[in-house]
Amino acid sequence: MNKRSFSSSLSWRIIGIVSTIFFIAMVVIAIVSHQIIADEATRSTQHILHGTISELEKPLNTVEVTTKAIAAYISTLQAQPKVLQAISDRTVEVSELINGFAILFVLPDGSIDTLRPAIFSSYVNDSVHEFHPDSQQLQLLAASWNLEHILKTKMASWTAPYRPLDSRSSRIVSYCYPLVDSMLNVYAIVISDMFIDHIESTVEGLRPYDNSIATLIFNKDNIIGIKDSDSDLINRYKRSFSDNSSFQNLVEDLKSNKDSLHRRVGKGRDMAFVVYGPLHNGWKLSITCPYREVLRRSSQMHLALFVIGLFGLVFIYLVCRRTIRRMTRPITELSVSALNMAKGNFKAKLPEITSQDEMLRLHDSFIYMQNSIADYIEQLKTTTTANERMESELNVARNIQMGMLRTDFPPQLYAMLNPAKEVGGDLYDFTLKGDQLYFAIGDVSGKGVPASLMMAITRAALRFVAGLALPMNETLSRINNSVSDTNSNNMFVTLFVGRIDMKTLHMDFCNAGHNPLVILPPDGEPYFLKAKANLAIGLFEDFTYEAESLDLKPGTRIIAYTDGVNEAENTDMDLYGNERMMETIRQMDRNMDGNTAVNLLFDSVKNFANGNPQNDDITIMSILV
Amino acid sequence: MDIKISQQENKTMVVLNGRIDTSNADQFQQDVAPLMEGENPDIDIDCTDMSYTSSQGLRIFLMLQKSVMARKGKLVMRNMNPQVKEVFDITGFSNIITIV
Repeated sequence: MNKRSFSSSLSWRIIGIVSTIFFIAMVVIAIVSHQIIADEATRSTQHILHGTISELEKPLNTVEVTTKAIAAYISTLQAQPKVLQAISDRTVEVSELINGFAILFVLPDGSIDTLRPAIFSSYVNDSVHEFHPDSQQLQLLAASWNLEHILKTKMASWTAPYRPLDSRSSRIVSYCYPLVDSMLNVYAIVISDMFIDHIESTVEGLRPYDNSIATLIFNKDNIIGIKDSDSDLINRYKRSFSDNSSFQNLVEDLKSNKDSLHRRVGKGRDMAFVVYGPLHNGWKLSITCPYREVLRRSSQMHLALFVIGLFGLVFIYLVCRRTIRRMTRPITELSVSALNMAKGNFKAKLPEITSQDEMLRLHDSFIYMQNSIADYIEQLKTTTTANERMESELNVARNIQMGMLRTDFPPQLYAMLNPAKEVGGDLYDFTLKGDQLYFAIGDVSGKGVPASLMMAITRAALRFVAGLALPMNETLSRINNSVSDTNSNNMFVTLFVGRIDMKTLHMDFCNAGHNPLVILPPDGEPYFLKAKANLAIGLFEDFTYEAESLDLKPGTRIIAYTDGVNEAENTDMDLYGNERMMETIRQMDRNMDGNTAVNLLFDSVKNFANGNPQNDDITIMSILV
Repeated sequence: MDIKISQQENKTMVVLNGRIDTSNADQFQQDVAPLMEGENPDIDIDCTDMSYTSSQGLRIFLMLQKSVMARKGKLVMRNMNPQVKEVFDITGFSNIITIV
């Protein structure tokens, strides 16, 4: 059997409740704090974005202002090529930002004016170089500058980054400013080149979070921060983007020319937010921050919180279990005491209780129970002892009483006595003196011990008086006087005494209130022996008894009995009755010995009673003459 | 066993109903105990509905008879059924109690 202590199961319950609350709180805190942190991160990244945009715009503005100023000067000057070359050389030499400068003359039809050669200056290795491209190089440059577009829109614009003709140097961007004549035809374009090293390093250094990506988008095909072919970059972001396709999705998102200032991209673990803003010249700067990185710190914090919480739960469990165990220790000890008591040790020691709570009440109740059980057991012992003593005394009394009854039956006579309790109030007696058979049967009113004492008195008187060989009425008178003398309790005895001369078969008898005897003649029906109704023994002293006599035929059977026979009851409260008794006696023939005859009647009564406890003493006597 | 006792003129009238046997003899003795004292010793017992009495019952009637005699009164038992009457006859109680 898997037993779990009270303390541990209660502790588990407490832990269950606390941990539920704890986890709910954790989840709420995680969701809310992630939301707050993500919002804050978006705002601060936007702030960084705007700061970076204005930082990037500063040199662009400078280049634009310078270029415009020179262009204005050139347009008013109508200067000679030599002067223009000098201005160009001087510009690249003086300007820190502009490292290349060109003036290209175009015809109204848009083709490059070959009569007026283009002016090119660059500043390489701390010195000014003049440069005269051939027509093929010019074509390349025109493509880089997107010359067609400028001629068409007649608007100044920045080019995308491209490699200068001496491909060894870094990539550059150019600001192209068209000069328009009074006919609104573009006749020249002023071009300032600028290295983008500084822009690139600014963009690449733009990293508010680990694994965040900053990109500067010039146009659909020109992006710095992400290079289409750069697989290393993709590898770098592997930790943020579980596969290449989701990264590519993000790239596509950035390339597409959407104008929202910030938005979410990606899914699940790759989810990121993008902040996004245009520079004044149409370039766009974006910063993409994976939420996983943004929330890394707070996730770590949550993990720490979770671990601390787990330790807290274990601690609470241990403290609870210890406390509850300490508080319920008396119960454990009381249960041990109870077990000891159950084993019969009623003086089992009880635990000391110092608290003033329910435990003390339980303890007090226990002491009370212990005392009352001990008292009760003690009382039970006394009662049982007394009962046992009484029982053994009754057994002795029964033996004594049975000893008073003669069992040395002569051949003519047999008798049995079956008391309803240990001792009874029935009696019989007989004695054979020569040919004279004296016999007596009696029944004391009531039964049990009082009746048995009365029976003993009567039996003693009977034995004494019988020895005197008096007439039957005189015999009863003597017994009556002897018993009445000491009978203060109004008990009485019905007594039949008889004497049969076995030679003449003459019977003298006297009946003091006893049931009439049954006479079974050898050749006839049984009948009740009618006798004078003399008063029962023990009621009135000096009562005068009247004797009677009867002559018997040889082979006559006499059945004497007490009312335990004819008044026996069965479980339906029916009486055995005189008729059944007579019917049974009728079955006794003259060859039947006394023992058999007596038991025939007794068994008949017992069968009739059918297990109903015997209510009165039963005595049966059979005499066969 | 049921007993009804009422006072009528100078007599105590008693009506008995049912059996007197071992199981209720003690109760019967308690019930008739008041009749064994007082200054109105004449008692009339109606036995019409008394179906049986054991020897313990006889003893109680005897005690009643003795107490009535001591107070110079008279105990009369009426309308006994034949079975009960037989018991009184056999035991000789008919000789000492007036049965009508």
